[in-house]
Amino acid sequence: MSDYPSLSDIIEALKQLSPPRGSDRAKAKDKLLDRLESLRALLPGLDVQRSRDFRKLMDRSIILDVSDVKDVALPVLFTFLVTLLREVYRSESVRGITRLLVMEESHLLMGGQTDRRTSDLKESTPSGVLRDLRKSGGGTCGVVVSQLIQDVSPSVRGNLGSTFVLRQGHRDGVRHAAGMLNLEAWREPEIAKLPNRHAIARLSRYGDPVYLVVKDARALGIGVSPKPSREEARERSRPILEAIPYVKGGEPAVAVAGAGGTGAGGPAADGSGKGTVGPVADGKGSAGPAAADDKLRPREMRMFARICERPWELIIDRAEALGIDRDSEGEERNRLGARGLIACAGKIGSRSLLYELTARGRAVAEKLGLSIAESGKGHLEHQSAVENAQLHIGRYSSKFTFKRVGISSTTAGVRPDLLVITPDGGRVPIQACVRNQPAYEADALMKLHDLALLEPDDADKVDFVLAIAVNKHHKAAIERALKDKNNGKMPDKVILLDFDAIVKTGFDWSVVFPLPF
Amino acid sequence: MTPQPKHTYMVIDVGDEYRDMLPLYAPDELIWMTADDLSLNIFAVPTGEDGKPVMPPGKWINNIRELLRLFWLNEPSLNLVCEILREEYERRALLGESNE
Repeated sequence: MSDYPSLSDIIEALKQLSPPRGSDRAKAKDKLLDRLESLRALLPGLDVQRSRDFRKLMDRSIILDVSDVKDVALPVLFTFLVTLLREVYRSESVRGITRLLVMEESHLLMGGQTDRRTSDLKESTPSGVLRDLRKSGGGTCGVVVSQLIQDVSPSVRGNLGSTFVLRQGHRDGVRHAAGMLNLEAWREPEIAKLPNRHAIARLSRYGDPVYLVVKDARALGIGVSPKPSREEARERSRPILEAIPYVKGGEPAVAVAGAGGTGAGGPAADGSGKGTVGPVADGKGSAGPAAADDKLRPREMRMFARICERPWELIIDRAEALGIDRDSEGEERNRLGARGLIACAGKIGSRSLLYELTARGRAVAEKLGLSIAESGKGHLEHQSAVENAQLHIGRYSSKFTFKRVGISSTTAGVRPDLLVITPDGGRVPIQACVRNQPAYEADALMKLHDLALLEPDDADKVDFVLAIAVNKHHKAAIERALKDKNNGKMPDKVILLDFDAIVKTGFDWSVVFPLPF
Repeated sequence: MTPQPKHTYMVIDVGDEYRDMLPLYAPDELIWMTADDLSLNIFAVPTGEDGKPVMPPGKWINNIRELLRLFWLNEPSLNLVCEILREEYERRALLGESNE
């Protein structure tokens, strides 16, 4: 049997189309390419040549952790799974319930009316799938659970088999819950005043509402393991997923999930729940650091190696270097963070976060033989300012040369962070000002400024000084400090820029280094 | 007699603070997957117990059409993707492998 086309195959086929420029087809092609590529980036698990056997997959007990999936991709994923389920088991003749699917945070998927993340969804589509699944016969019981009743579409609310409502705080939630439970208007306040572990339920579609008290799981005779010792806990918290051999792109890897935020066990009630006949199992929570494994998937490995080598790199540059979009970069980075390999180490500019290796990450990188960047002066922000300045000045002109050791010949004892040597032999020291001590930074800049005022034949002379502040507020503070030290005016030979300006696409470097050189 | 479910679990949101404890209460056979691990081809017609496609590819294309509609695609783009899909199916001689 031939292989079905994968998502990548369709994208490639689409790229080869050449409709007349400006035609409707050309516009449709662009839009489609954009969407399909973002679908591929958001849900790489759906971009495979040979599909896993869905029946075998569903034959096991699975928690599908969708916490890393972007909200915009959730409806597609959910509907795809439910459609598969519906089609694969359509002809099943088994009576009764053989599968239980639990979907948490279901308002995200159920055609929410007020949630801005789902308001663009066509209300009927996921709900329609849900109804279809119910029509396709027994075998599956679905539970949708949400804290936001008002955000679950009316058609889903109207198709519930059993409904369990816990305390509701939102006025709309109370109103909708009362409608679902068929409560009289005067009893509505009861929903807002329900004590913990109490619920009002309607066990069948036309039944009367009843009160339920949720007892301790042990009292219900449900097996909950006694709390294990620390050693047992460590042993059992090894990744459960190792049971699934996972091959992607020809490179074997083991997908690892640690403990997640959503639990499993015997029946229990939590939050506000509504039972219905419908679909899908879903878990929430990301991989826990304690259970993280060192086996990284190829894409994670590339990201990890890049952060090891260039922790000072900005997110946008890293995404570009790895050939992925920023969303995917964020996802991979979050995964590494969840495994405890990297951590946010600071911020530079208005919103550029920097990440560095944790102690655990460093140990893993050493074990893997990755090259690890030296930490320079110790401050990652400082290193990032210097490296990015060099990167962007280098992009402006390849004729500049850079020297890192400072002006070794200077008699003033000032060693700037970076020295730019222009093609005509001019020297421009660059000072990264990251300390939140404007007076200290101004002092250092004034020392460099003095070198610019030397006689032309002096070997220490520099053309001008370029200072980079971490953000515009810091820039203003340094500017004030410089004016204080220079009789109320900015020193002529100091150019002060903020970090956001130098990394901005289209920044005009000829203002700093006038052409021609 | 109604057959009982083989596995019955209810997933509850236990909050981040209990995350590390979760495996302690999860049965050993429980599989934890992320969406990246699914390895399901969105364009492949699902197969039934006998290993044959459960529906003609043309019908599955309509399902895909509805899926992509959720991803904020409108009619002209959806028509185009269906067209390309049909061509790909034809090129790979997949149209005759259904139970049509």
